[in-house]
Amino acid sequence: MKDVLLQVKNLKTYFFTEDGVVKAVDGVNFEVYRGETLGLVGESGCGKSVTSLSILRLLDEKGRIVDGEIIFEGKNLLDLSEEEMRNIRGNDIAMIFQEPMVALNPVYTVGDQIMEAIILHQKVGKNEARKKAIEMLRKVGIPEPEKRIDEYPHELSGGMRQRAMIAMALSCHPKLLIADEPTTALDVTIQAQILELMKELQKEFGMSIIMITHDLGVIAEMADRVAVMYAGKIVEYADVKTLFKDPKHPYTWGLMNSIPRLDVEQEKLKPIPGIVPDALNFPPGCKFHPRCEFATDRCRSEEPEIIEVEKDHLIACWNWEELEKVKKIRRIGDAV
Amino acid sequence: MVKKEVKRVVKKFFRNPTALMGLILLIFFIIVAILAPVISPPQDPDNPYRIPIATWSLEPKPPSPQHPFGVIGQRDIFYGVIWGTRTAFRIGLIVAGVSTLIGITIGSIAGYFGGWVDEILMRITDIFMSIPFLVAAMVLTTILGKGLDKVMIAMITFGWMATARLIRGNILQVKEEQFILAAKALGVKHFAIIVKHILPNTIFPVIVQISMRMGSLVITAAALSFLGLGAEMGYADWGTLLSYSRNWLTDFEKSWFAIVFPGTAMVLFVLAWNLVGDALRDIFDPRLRG
Repeated sequence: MKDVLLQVKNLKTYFFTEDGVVKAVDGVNFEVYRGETLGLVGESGCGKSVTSLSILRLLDEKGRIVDGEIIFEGKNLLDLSEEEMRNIRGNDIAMIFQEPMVALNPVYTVGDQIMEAIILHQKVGKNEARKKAIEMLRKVGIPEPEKRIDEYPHELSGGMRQRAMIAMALSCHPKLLIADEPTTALDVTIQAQILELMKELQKEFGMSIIMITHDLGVIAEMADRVAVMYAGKIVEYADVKTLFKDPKHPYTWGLMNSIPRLDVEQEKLKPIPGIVPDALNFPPGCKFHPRCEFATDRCRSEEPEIIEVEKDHLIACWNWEELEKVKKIRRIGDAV
Repeated sequence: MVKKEVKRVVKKFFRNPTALMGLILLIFFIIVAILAPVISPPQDPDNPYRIPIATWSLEPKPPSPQHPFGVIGQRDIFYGVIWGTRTAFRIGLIVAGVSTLIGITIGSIAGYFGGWVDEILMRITDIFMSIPFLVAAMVLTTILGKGLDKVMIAMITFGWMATARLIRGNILQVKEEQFILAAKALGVKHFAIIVKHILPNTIFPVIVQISMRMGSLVITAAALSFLGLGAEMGYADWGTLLSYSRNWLTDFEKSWFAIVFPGTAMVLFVLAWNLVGDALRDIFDPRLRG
């Protein structure tokens, strides 16, 4: 029996804007086990980042968690006071961000910023914190950490900055790391290095990671289990191998078809038609139906609940059996 | 670390000739202000800011060895210019300091908390801004009475709005930055976020503004003095000295020294602060580093 670290139950985060209510996250359920990596995939604007900010309770004034529970080590984070929450941020749950260029404060040295977190949560003196910061920088593979610690963010390259961000986030050995598109802004070789580094540190510290990305390559590389999000909901939830081998939701299937493959001869990539619906007015029924080739009348009027169709494989779709037939036919086609 | 930083600032300062000129001018004024009792020993040590009566004749007297800058309104201009340096620093430092502090407080509260707090504070700022400064300052000094301290109160009361707006605008921009979110995600407190993370990123334009204002405030004070609202007659203040020449405006030949000497002091003072302000902007703004 695996040990659940974080459980998100029926999370609903809405933004109350002048134009109306945006249901950015609308009833999301997932859990993160100790030591594993959960991938959260989806297109821009599907609610992945809002989910992660909700976990840390860092939404801006307009956003509010209207319903749900976020259970972290048995405590509901939504019941904690701001003070208690601050003790969790950075200490038990840390976050790294998409843009290493802007996620470090330009007026402080890298060391100052890493030390801030250490001093804040570990109640140690400045010298001790500095030692720990240097140790952390060494762990994330920054050469000459004794020198780099006194440099300003602008003196570091993008990859180095992301390493520094990781050092900052991991300086207090959090149990859960939320990585919001940590490699999107980096070039491909650096991406690979950073992912490798995160895996190593995960093993060393035994922490769990929520990996938020739109890049299926990153998911394949990193995740143990995957939740695919679409328009504020999880539409498919399975372990990574099952998901890549046997996607059951038409959206996931579409995503898989839209990435180039080396092992199958493809004439053209097949993108999913259309775009993510406007969050201010979602279509009725299944939110994916305007883009779905299997859509029926039922899809247009009734929203599917997420259900377990195979063991540990959950999807929210009325017509997944249709897709199964199509997949079978195509597979035969491939073989011929 | 600190040593390295100081070294860098000094090095940059000395590499920039205009900054160096500003600094030299400023140091010159500071030395004059400090050494005032040595350069022009006061007749009445308890009341050094009163320019002693030099002559009983009402006619202005051109520069002479005894009165190097001449005499106007029975007062020695040299004494007035020297001791006026102290007055200039006092006006500049106190008014710029206090009004900036008020501006930063109001601006950062409005900017950080936003919403109706912002709305109320900014409307108050607008009201203060809509009143023409000179008129407002005149009305207030009339109510409070004459004297340098009253002028300073008036200048503070109507002098904080630009800073408040500047700070608010900068905070609105900086608080959306990802490093603020990153700091929050590390569990840093609101107060520490404002003071440690937001203000250092917004304060540089304000520091530059302060040093620019230091100079211009002295001109404003002089303008009020010239209009008869400033320091009382005989007070060692450049504006007061200038106001003496008001009676001789039509006769420049006879009173040029009363305008040229305090006027030059004032222009150089403003220039010094502006040059230093420019240099500070270049040096301290970390975004311009490199």
